[in-house]
Amino acid sequence: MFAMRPRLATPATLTRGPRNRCLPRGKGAGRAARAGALGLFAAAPCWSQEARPAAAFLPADSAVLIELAAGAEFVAALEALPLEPPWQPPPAGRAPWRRDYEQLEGFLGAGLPAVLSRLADRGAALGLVPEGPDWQACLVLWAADEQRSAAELARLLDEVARRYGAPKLFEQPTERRGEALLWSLGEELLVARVGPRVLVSGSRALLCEGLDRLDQPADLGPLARPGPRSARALPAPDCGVWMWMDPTRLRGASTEIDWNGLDGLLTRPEGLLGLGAGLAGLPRAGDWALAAEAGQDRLRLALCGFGLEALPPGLLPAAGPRPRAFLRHGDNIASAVLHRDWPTATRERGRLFEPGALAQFSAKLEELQIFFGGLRLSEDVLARLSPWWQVALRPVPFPAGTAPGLPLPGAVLFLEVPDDPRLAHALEAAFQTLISLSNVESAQQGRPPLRLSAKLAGQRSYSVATPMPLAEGEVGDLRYNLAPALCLTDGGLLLASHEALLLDALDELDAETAPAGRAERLELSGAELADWAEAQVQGLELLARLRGRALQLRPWIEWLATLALEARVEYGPDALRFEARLERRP
Amino acid sequence: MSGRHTELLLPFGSDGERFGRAEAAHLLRRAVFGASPERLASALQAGLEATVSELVAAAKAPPDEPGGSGIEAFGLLPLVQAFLVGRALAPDGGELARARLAERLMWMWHGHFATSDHKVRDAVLMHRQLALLRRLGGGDFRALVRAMLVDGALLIWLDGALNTAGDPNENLARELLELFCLGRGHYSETDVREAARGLSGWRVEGRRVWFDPARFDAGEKRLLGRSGPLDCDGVADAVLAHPAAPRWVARRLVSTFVCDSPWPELEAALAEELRRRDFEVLPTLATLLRSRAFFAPAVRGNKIASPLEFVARARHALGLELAPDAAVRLCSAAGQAPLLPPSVKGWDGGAAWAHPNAWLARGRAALELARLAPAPAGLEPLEAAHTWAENLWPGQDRPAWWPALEQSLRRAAPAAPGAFIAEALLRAPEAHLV
Amino acid sequence: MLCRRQFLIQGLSAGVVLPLLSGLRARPDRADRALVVVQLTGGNDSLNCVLPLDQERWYRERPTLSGVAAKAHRLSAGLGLHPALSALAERYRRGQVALLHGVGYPQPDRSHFRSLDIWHTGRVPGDPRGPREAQERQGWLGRAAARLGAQAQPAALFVGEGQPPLAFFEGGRAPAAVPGRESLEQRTELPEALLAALEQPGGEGAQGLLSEATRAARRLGGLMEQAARLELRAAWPRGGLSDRLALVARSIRLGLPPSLYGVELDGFDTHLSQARPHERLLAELDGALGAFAAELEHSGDLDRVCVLVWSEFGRRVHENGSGGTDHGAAGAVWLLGGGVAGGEHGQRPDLERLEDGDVPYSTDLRALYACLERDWLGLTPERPAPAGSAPLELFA
Repeated sequence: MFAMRPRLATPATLTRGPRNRCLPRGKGAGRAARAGALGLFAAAPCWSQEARPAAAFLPADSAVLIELAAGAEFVAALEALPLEPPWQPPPAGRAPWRRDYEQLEGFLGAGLPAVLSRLADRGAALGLVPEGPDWQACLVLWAADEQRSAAELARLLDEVARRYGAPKLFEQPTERRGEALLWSLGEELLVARVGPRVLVSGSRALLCEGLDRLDQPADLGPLARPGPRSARALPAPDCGVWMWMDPTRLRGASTEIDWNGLDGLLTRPEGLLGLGAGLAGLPRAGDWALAAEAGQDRLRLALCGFGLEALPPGLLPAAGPRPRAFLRHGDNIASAVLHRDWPTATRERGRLFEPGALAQFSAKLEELQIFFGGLRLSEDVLARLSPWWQVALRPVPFPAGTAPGLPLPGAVLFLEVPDDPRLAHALEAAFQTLISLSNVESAQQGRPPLRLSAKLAGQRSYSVATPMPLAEGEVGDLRYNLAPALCLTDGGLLLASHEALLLDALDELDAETAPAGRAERLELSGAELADWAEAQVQGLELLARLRGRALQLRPWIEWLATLALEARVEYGPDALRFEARLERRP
Repeated sequence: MSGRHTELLLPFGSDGERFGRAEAAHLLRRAVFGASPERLASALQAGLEATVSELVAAAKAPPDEPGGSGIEAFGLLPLVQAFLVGRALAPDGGELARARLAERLMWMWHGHFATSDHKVRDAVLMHRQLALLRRLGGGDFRALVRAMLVDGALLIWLDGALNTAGDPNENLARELLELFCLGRGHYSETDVREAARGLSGWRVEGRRVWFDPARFDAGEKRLLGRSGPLDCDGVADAVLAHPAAPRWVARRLVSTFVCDSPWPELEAALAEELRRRDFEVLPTLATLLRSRAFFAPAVRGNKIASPLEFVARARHALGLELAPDAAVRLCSAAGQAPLLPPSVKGWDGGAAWAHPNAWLARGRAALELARLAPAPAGLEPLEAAHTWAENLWPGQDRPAWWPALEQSLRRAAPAAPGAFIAEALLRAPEAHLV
Repeated sequence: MLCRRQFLIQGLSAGVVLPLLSGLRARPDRADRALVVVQLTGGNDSLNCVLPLDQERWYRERPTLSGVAAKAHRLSAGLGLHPALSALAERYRRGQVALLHGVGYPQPDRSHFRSLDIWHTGRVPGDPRGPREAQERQGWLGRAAARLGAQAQPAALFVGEGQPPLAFFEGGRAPAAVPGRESLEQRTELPEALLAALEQPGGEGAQGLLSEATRAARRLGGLMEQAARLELRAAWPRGGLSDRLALVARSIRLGLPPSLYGVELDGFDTHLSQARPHERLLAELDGALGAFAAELEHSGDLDRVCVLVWSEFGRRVHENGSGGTDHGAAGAVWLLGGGVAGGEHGQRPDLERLEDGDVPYSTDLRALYACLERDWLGLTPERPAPAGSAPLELFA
């Protein structure tokens, strides 16, 4: 995630034997540490009450805290989930992850879950402290009992020692400190064990801080700070990883991420109206917490931002109207409910956007104003749209005899608009102008135009642009996927890429009336996408062949068919929560 | 070249000539865009008679590809172009490749009935026309002409759809007589007018082609000695009954498969053969491909390859994995854009391919094709060069510039010997002779 | 074959007398001249480039678009140039730009393809033509190139990607074409000795022909590569058109064979919200042309080069409902070069006398082509200007 380089670097010397590499250098070590941390430990009761959690022994000054519980199951579940697409051959970046993981396991001399189950039955935690451009890390491992801890640690140290040609080097600890036994691996790494707990760090100071805290039962270390404390108050996953980060200190330490750019998202239309105020605002939160949980056939990731005082007021949908629950039927390949506050953005653009972006935005509004004949785009149109947008991507139920040879999924958009004939008229006029313009283009290319007409569906009228009807037995080309239709009704605007979708959506409109929650959501159904691809396999493979690539679609279809993704953004009084869930259906 | 009319079509080998590697390669280059070494070997083993029979038999029923008609669902010209070229590039060993003679004929007829999407502007109609040319191109020429006279793309191209009783348009009729069936000098202007009247009444709307009796000129016509209320079938029959028709078709076959410049005696002999075979193209072609004239020394290696022939032959002989859309691009740059012939006369061919403007593009094509060449596995560069040259020009001596290539290989020691060798081979004039 | 210029240079180095030089320099030989044709595809809005500042109707019909009048370059009374065309305005003041008003043809066709074909072939509706001409691929520049003689091969060169325009085709054959920027001649790894060996005249018949073709092609490729390596002296802006014109400029500076060059700039079909997109395009055009003229002026070649800027039609006077304009009829044509007769030519469009809402043509494009062929290229015009058209004096 962040480009951290914890200094678990090569020890410069060993007391005996030739100069050798003790540990993989720099980056590799960082990744290994991360993999190890994300790794896991055996099943353990979570957040046991009798003793302080492992994280309590991390440096109080940590900017990043990572805590693991019930790790073995987490890892097993992760491995069982088909997260990797069936690339053939795998693209360039994939292989290193595998390589690093295998390297780590090789180094440990045993499978990762096994090692961790012996050393960290009851929990593990990693703390990262930025020091200038570098980072210091401290790792705490808490085993079920002392013997297991001691035995596993001894074995590991033995492995390390043997690798560097000095087999008995670490048989005895290099020093003792109270009840703790310490080993120095070269100059840069210290390992300490006290009872069932093992601490590892590159910095003596941090290590000792942890050791000292053992004598102060009331001291919770970093967990006493308000940030981690409120983060931990969130519903924690049953088993998995929990992480807390301090964005302010991260900025100072990590120069590779464009923090200004991320912050600036909220002051630009692309960020505010593209990603949405929620996601765009996340970089500005005071604290971040991340939780990941992998269970049977399921991976869940939650990212929260607290302390949102830095956000401009009124942008988040904490108050305000709730969207109607709509466009949620089972056939959707994808559907989304998005909060894009066009009204506030256009009304208060002077205050919200940075100068450069503001000028561009206003210019664009001016250019598009033409379409709305008479009405002012910002005040009369955009300001009155609902901020809740609902979009769905679905296979189109083409009426007989109009289906194109390669049917593509169509899209439907629903937006609540106030019941105002002038507004309705302006929106319809804009639609018709767009169609006319595209017809001019088509005429130039010698293609037949789309024919605009107004039709009735029950009591409602709608505008639709249809392509020329097909002759008997003729199959339409790609253009027949489009028959755009617009309907303004019941305080809502429905825009669909094909008339048939519009008619279906109108039926849904009649059925659903209950309001939904104030969360943004996105859903992707791998099964539906796979069904669509399955039906078009020949066409897609033909296309690939013409490009000279032999595409194996079957593995992809099978892979997609089992997956479903759901993501939500929820808004609390002063916290944002982004949650994504990937599910595997058999 | 002359030769006694009757002797020209005698089968090759009847005088003891041997069907060796060079002969087999010549046959496959001209008939099916070249061949892989394996296919060449099996042709050699089977012998001339059997090979030609097999080519013809497979061409009678060219297979459809999976997703074949799916190309019309896209309706995009570049995809249709790539699709058609892709069939000529299908690797030897597959079912599509066995019927490649049908593709070769299709491209020949495409140049003959040269219709350009430039005016038709509908990739689906163009594809349908080419599919028709492939389907009927090997059979009775008369059936082919009848079908083409009511083909949507051709009707649009030659204004056949604007030809009505009250307002005749002679474009289609003129080209039918001048370019498709008879050639200049065998008909009069009156014939053109009368033929135009007989071809009237057809309409094209969108992709639908239909006959509208209201627009048809149903009166008496006198065309080339025939009279009656001729419709388009009647016109076709009248035209093709003319003695010059077989000669014209024979000329097309000779200029496509034998030599660029006219050979009157062979054309006459082949016309006779065509007549005897009742206008069936594949059997006539079979006779030609087995004939002495076809294997005459002056014929071999003396025809300039069209861009498609150059590219396809390189692909088959060297096993280059060339993507169809890249092939379309290379051919278009070198002057042969599929479905976009420069005029009604099609592509002039022959020396016209060697225009310096287009030749720059051939050089670039050679470079790009060479980049697809595999590294010569396990072979020394020099050995690989010999093998590949043998694949491109089986049974022939190494060309005059061979020592220069050997020297360059030794001196330069290129990092990618495969690409180096392939480029040299493909830039050579011999690679552009078919 | 030495062209005049090379002879002069050699003569100088041999100590030939200067007066000879000055006399000859005054009017470059026709054989040396180059014509660069810049095609603005889409239908350039002539009334938004060459602004009729004194016509009330223009302001009335174009409420938003006429806003450019405020910052326009004033060329003369009532005539302005769009603010983005600064380099062109500067050259106009120096007398190096000829502005030819109202160029078109009878029975204007508002379809891009048909109008382009008409401009490319020089055959207007109503021209008597053979039955097959509609299907034949050849254009006026291709035919001119064929008549310029076979010695300087290739006589015409199109710089750009994709299909060269029909104007350059001759006898169905495509003109020499090179892509604008990179991959001019993708670097071949084969050594010179091998390439030369491959081109050896081999035998007679087809093989000999091919060797010749390969040699000629390599020569062309080599020339273009040579051109691409030449150092540019003027300051060129970035952009596709600049790159292409830069290659043309280099080729002209080196005295390479082509006398006819073609480049294209697309995007002028501005039906919607025209103001900003058109401004951007004009800025690109102006930047490239300005740098082109500066480059050739530096090397003293501007006198023998004429740049023709044209578009397949102008646009309507009336602004449409979307802030753009629709297809019109006649438009203005510019010629830029040291040898052109600077100033206005033809009749200024009178917006009170429109035909069907469009500016009618006052100069037939056939007259323009005849003038270019006769007065600039030194060829007998293939088709004379239509009867009754006023003679054009576009060149000094």
